[in-house]
Amino acid sequence: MIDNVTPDDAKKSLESVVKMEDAGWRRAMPDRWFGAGVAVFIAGMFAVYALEDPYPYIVFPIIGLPLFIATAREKSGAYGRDAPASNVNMWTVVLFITVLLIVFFGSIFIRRAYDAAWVSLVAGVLVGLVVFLTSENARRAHRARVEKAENK
Amino acid sequence: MTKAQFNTVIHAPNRLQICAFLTPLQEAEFQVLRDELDVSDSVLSKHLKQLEEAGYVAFRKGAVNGRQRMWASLTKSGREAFSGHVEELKRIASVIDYGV
Repeated sequence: MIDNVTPDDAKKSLESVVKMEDAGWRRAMPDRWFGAGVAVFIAGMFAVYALEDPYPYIVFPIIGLPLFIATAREKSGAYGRDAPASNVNMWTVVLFITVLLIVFFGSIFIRRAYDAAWVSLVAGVLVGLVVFLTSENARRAHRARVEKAENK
Repeated sequence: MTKAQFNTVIHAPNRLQICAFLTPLQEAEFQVLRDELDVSDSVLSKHLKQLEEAGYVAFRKGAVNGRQRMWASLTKSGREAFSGHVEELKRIASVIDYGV
């Protein structure tokens, strides 16, 4: 069969590949509400420690986050691949999680040591903002890639 | 680096488009694929089945608002085969570019 494929045929096939890949990228555009929702649930995990007895409530953001992600994906019709594994990506994720854990346990320690409920609230708001801004950044990068492909 | 290799299963226009569309995606719903390719349910089913038999596409069933939906994704060997096929197409097309 390969003998029947002329350079012109190959070029046309490649054009259709690029067109459909671009369509896939467009479909994979993350929703702004998705990033906001994830940020709210993660902020909730921190902010709930402002309560006197947080343990009955911590379960809500812990269960809510994966449920929210699964539901948003099911409703989207198509969603992008997780970032491909690379050393840079891996270390960025490790660093991000380490900072989150330091803020998490640090805010709980300060809240208990000084009975300062506002520390957990501030930590929740700050972490929520960082997560939302990170998701917006990823969304902008994704949109730039789609627009670049459309303007080719 | 992926080895350039012509793939007769993937080369058919609709199957090539299915693989290309699924490349940047984790999963896509059957209806989304059908709309993007602008083909009927039966045509899409036929091509997806051929890709599944070759081990290039996997399916998952899920429910949204109580309705059954089918999701398709490229398998690891599907991604490798598609990538190899695209490399081979580039090699064939380059015959024009280099004027050989």
